[in-house]
Amino acid sequence: MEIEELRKEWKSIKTPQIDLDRLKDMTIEKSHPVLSGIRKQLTMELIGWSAVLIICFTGLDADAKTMLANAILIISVTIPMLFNIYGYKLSKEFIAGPDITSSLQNQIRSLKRFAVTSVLLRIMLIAGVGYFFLSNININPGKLMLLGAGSVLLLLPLYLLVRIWTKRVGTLSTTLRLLKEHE
Amino acid sequence: MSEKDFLSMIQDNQGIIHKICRIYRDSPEDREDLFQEVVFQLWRSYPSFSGGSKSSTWLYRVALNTAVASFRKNRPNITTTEYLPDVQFEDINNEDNERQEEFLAGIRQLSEPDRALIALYLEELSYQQIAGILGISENNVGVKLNRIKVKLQKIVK
Repeated sequence: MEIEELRKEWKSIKTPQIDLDRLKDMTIEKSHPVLSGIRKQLTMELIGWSAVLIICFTGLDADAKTMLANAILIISVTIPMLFNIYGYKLSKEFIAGPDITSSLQNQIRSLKRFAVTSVLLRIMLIAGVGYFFLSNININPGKLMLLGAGSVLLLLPLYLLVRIWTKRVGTLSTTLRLLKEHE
Repeated sequence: MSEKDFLSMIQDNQGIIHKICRIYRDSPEDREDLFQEVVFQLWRSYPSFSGGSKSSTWLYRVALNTAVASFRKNRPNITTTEYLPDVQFEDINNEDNERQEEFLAGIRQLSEPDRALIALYLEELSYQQIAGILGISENNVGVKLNRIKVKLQKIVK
């Protein structure tokens, strides 16, 4: 197909007409499909970890643990949750520069920072919760095995998290590299 | 400019957003999500749109930026026959649909930056405008376009 034919074909593509009311809905954050999914996930995590904290402080003898163990538990759970809220805000920001190249560069930089912090905070969360449960208890072989199994269960999501971030950053980096090819 | 002006500008220019969605996403659901994401991003960046550049240039930049940078949902890759009769988002009463789909599928075989370049070229933007939107040199626009045209002519026969 010659270039003029390609152009003609492009121009002849029929597109639907969306009315003003529906377009207006699309500008509202609440009706955004991806953001509403993230919000649901955030809410569930927030409820889940709040429940963990309540269970720890009411049913798991938190008063028998040291003040330090209690403080570590609260900090290691609260900071990742707050960081996730920041992540939600970040997920709305795609346009970060006057042109697509600089926008992608800025986005990759900010995603890398976010990914590293997110993984570090997840490690902190695992370590903090682990420290709380293990403080003041005597470790015997049975408990050690339980601890090993628990660690594997906690490390698997961490591995998946690293993989997701590596893939996201990798995809954007490839796009940027191809865009800047021959520059 | 007010929300009303913004919406009427989007309504007037929604054809190009639909076309961008069709060259960047495979399924109608993903295209619908991307369309909404583009409108959302345009609305968010609208206050910073000074009017210094043409509204169409700003629209192309935000729409293409969103298409290449937004995350895709992991949907199962299910191939079905055409759209359900009650789905109105994409035009199903188009008798040239098959040929157009073949043409768009050809463009979708290009890399993501190449799709942006060819879309802007087919929209008849100048090399200077394309370079400004993408943030690359005019010379590079020319080099890339020559390569893409040859590739596309082979894909779309």
